[in-house]
Parts: sequence; C-alpha cells; structure tokens
Amino acid sequence: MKRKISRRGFIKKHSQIMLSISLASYFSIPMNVIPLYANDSLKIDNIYKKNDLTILNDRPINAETPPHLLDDTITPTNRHFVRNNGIMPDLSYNEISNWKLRIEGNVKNPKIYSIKDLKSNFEVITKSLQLECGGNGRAFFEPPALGNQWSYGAISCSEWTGVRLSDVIKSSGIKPSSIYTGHYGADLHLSGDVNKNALSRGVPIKKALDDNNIIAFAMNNEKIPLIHGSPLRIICPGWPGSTSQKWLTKIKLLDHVHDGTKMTGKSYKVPINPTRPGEKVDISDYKIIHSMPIKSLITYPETALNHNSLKLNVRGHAWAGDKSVKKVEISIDYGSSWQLTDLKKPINNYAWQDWQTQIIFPSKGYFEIWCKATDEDNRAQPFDISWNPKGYLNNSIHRIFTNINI
Amino acid sequence: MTIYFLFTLLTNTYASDKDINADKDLLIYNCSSCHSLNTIYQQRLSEERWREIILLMYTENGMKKMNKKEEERLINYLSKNYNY
Repeated sequence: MKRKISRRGFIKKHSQIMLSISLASYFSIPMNVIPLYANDSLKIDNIYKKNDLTILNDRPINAETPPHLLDDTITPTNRHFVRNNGIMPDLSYNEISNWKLRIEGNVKNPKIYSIKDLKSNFEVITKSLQLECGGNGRAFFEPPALGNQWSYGAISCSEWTGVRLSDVIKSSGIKPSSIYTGHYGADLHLSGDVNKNALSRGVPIKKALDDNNIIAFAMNNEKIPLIHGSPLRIICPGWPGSTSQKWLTKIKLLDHVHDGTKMTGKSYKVPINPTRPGEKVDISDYKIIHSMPIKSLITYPETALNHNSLKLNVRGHAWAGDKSVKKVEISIDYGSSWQLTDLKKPINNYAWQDWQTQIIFPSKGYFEIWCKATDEDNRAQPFDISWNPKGYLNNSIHRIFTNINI
Repeated sequence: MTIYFLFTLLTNTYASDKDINADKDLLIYNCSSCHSLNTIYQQRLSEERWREIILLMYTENGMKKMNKKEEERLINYLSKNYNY
C-alpha cells in the first residue's frame, strides 16, 4: 500500500529546503496543488530505506549491496539489491487488493487467480532462494559493456513465501506442445509507451516445472515491498533475475521460445562460442543464458580494513545456479596455495551456502584474500572474466585486501 | 508576486537562450525525458558503440529522431566524455 502525502505534510517536510532555494517559489505553489515531487519522492524514499546500498541509477532505480553488508545467511529486505528495467507501477490499495494473475496461452483451461485463490488452491511454502542479476560483475569487463555497472552486490538470498509456480501453471492443463513460458508484469516501459513492456522474459518448460520456483506474495515474512514486486512476483532461483518477473500479472504457456521484451536481440544472451574481448559477434551466434555459474563472496571482513592480529576469521557465501557448491577455498598468496573452508549445507535447494574459516597470516604486511568456490561438477570460479559483449556471467573469484599490523 | 514571476520568466528565457547550443543540452533534451542521465554517466563506450545505441534508441525505445547534425554532435559528445 502506498502512503499518500498531504500538501501540508509535504510543505512541513520540505519547507526548509524549499525556503532555502527560494522563498518566492514556496509561496507560488497554488493552494490545493500537491507538487508532483511530493509523491514521486515516496518512490525515491523506497531506496533510502535501503541501508547503505550503492545507487547505480535513479530512473530506473537500480542499486546494489556492498559485499560486507551481505553477511546475513538470509538477506534482510533493506539489504536486497534493486533491479528495475522500467518504471515501477503506481499501485493503489484497491489495485493491490484486487490483484489478478492470469494463466493462459497454450493451455486447456486458462485461469484467473486472486492472491486469496492462490493461497487456498495451492500449498503455501517458504524457501530461502538465491537471486542474482545476470549482469552482476559487469563493471569489471574490459572493454566495458553497456548497462548498469554492477560490481559484486546484485545477489541476494532472502526468504520468499508463496505457491509453487509448477502447481499454478499445471492447474491450467498445459498442452504437451508447450516448450516455454512468458512472464508479464505491471511495470511501465521507460518511454511511457503503454504498448511496450519494460521486461517480459520466460524460461523453458522444464525449468518452469521445477518445484523450487515460487510465485511469491511475501518476502522475509512480510508483504513484498513495491520496489521488490508487490503484491506478486516470480522467484526463479539460480537463473538470471530477469526471469523472476516482478508485479506479476500474467504467465503465458507457449509452443515457441518467448519473444517478449529482453528475450530477443542480445539481451540476457552470451555468444555460443568463446569470444576474444571486444570481438563483434553475429546476432545468430548468441544463446539464451540458463543457469547462473558457480560464484562466491567474502562478506567478512570488509575489504580495505587494517587488522592487528595474525589470526583473522573470514566468512561468506557461495552459490552455483542450478547446482550445489562442493567446496570453497581461500588463498592469501595470490592463488599459489589454497586453504579449504568449512562449508555449510544450504537451508534448502537453491539457497546459497555459508562458508567460514580462520586465516593465520605468516607475518605482518599487505595481503589479498581470494575466495574460490567449486560446484558439484568440479567447475571452479576462474581468476578472470570469460568476456562477452553484453557483460553477463562474471563469476571470477572475489578478492579483498587487508593490512596486517602487529 | 508579479515581480517574482517576471523575474523567473526573464531568467528562464535567458538561461535557455544561453545554453541552447551546449552539447550537453542535446543529451538532456533527447535522453533524460525517459531515463536518468546516470544511465549514461555509468558507461565507457567507443564511438561505434554509442552510434549503435542511438540507433537502438530510435528503433526500440521510441526516441524522437534528431536531425543529422544534432545526432553527430550528440554521438561526438558521448564518445568524448563517456569513452573507454
């Protein structure tokens, strides 16, 4: 639900700034007119509730979490990154209360569900699920790639409550010829053109029918905030976050690969063959990204801090898209030797896995701490980026540094 | 009040006259009606890439076509300031 601000409230809140800008302009707002900024600023306030996130863009709003603020096993809502392709919808209380989800397309019985229907017709489940932006790590590409310059923190593992995506789409009687889903949300294209979608992606039917995907109505045991897709969204863990449609209004079953906004062109695609950095790749030589790759973060300590003991506890998380993490190792000698860490099992499938260990430094001095995870198929994080034109899937090892002063 | 309105009117007219030829204005007028300029400030791209992006804005995102001269000025400004 969105709070509306009154004219009086607006003036009270902002009078100091406005007075300092211009006393005259303050009095030139006619009575009973609420400046547009008053309610727009509430959307922006959404971002100020975010604790110390790095704001990459304000229209559309995109923000990431510095690694040391991702220390929690379950990412708190105020530390969850924000990724928007378009303008967040302006939803009234009524619109949210009467929300409808349509299941249609290549199905025998198209369905329309209210959120209440979803809760009463299907089993409600809660899971901790990792969600990562396909472009996380783009900032380190050379030559650079177009898009939001995410560094490390477009990753989260919050607790989501909802119903299984598979249960909901199966209830519509999926025709056997269906091979893909198409997801639709209520956000607006940046140009304001109502005939355009900001984002409409989908997944192959096999992934859609996986039991771990959720149509969520709660995040960390509270209603989902507007900025994260209130009142209903998909969580499709392990795949690029764009498949987890926010403000979900419709899921279409399709007998062809979905052709919605950012399914076509080069969006969320990488070259089929390895590519020389900077090389131009023909549009027909791209493939759609499926699972995200093995990756890890050091969430304690924060980088660039001094420590005054030879012993240092370090910890973080590791995740591997559709796979599980087999081991996490750290190195304090530039990868010359690696030390195995204690790796926890995930809370459930598709949750990230916590790791921790104690480092004993051989001396004082400058040290880099490198972290490398390996998945169940023995694929480890590389040292460097596997370059691709759009800047996706950077899963190179995480590095922090420290000065040991004793 | 009247004086204030006259004052703002005059200063606004003066400001737009003065800056109308600045290349940055092209950026503001053509790009920031849809998205924040932070979208651009984050990028480091070659002239070739900026050229492609302007084209993409026309074809995919409903950007109003500039005249050729303005288009070249904008591409030049972008590649000079937000280059690799």
